[in-house]
Amino acid sequence: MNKVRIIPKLEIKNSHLIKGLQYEGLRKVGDPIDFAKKYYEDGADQINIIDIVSSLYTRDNLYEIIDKITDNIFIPICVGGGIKKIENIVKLLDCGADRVIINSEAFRNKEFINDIGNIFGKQFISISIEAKKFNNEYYCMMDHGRENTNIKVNEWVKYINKLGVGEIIINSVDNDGMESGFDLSLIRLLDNNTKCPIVISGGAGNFNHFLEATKFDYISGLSASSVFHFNKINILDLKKSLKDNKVNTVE
Amino acid sequence: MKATILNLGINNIKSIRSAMEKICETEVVSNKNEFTNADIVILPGNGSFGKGIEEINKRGFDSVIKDSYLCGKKIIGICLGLQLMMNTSEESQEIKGLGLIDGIVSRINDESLRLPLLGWYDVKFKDGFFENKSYFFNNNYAVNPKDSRLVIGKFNNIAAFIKQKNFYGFQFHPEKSGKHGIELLKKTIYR
Repeated sequence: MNKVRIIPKLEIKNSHLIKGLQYEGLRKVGDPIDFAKKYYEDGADQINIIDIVSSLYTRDNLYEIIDKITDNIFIPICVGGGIKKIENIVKLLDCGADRVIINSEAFRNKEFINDIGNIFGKQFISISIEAKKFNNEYYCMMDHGRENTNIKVNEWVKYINKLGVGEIIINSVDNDGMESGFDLSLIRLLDNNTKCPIVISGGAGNFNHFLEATKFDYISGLSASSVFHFNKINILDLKKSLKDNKVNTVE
Repeated sequence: MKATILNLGINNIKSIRSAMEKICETEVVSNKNEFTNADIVILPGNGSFGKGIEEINKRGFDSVIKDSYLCGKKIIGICLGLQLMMNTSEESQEIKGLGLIDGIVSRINDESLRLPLLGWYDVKFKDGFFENKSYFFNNNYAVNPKDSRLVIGKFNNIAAFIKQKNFYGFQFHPEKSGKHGIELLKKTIYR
């Protein structure tokens, strides 16, 4: 019954679409508005937008970009990066966001998720996890991979699972931009203990990478950026090939 | 034809406005005083049940919705906008809903699914009422009207589309379901 969503991820710095390697060495890719439009036309099932700077000074740029992106795009737009207050969320909804993605603030302010849930409903929240491996253990990073929370991914997933949020997006910092495949041992860490939808992100470089991730039946979304931004795979072709391989995609 | 969207301050308001503007003249109002004449009233989605009712009362929309419904004006409820029409919800148990549709909102209980619903699910409509397709859902709760004949569209056993007289309620988000979602909204408006 579970249809696998294909989710391009747009990382925004100031007004630019950017892409890095392992969350570092960021380079400009282009205008996020053009890319979002193309992904919509190509049949993306959702678009995730992350403001990776999210300082007070650049915040208005983000609102403006979301506003322009969403004039003609009729699929879910999920926005994250630097969301700390309910008023940030209200503003994002005014600009065209449909859901929010939270990482760092869930560590800093344990009440925040409940506060959002009481107003917007728990289904409205995606928790993003930035997983990075140290000595063969995965830890949760925050502030776009810059700071280690020293909390292990499996412990955090257990905690988040109890909160009952809309979904968990698990990003591999190590595989980000490497196009070497999704981190399968990270995917295995999540297994069937989780109840909510799970999206995996980071590392996709070719069609087989997507296909092998769909073998895990608890994965409900595949997120990628560089492979789409640099036109190595077209979303339309990807969905068609997955369907030809009997993957339940969205039509 | 003019559609008026009742903004509760917690909805995905830009998204529903952009979608409606593709179809007909659209205005967004934030309280009863801004509401003048409308051919169609839209109760948009997103938000918790308790907060939704609180905002409806605070903004004076309870009488707008009741009067519009009783005088036969077309009302379209999306997601939370549908749920608010019921008597009560398990999401906010101490809060009374608008009660214009007899029944409750209950937590989805389906072992075959990862919950909440988030993503695209196949909806089957009775008698070809609308096109059977995948639509975008994002909800933990769903409506259970006492009169099950009101349920015209379903995903598994979950009510996806309800019609009671001049009220049309979608549990999914047609405004976020791609081009065929916009088509479905258009058909509802010009029906």
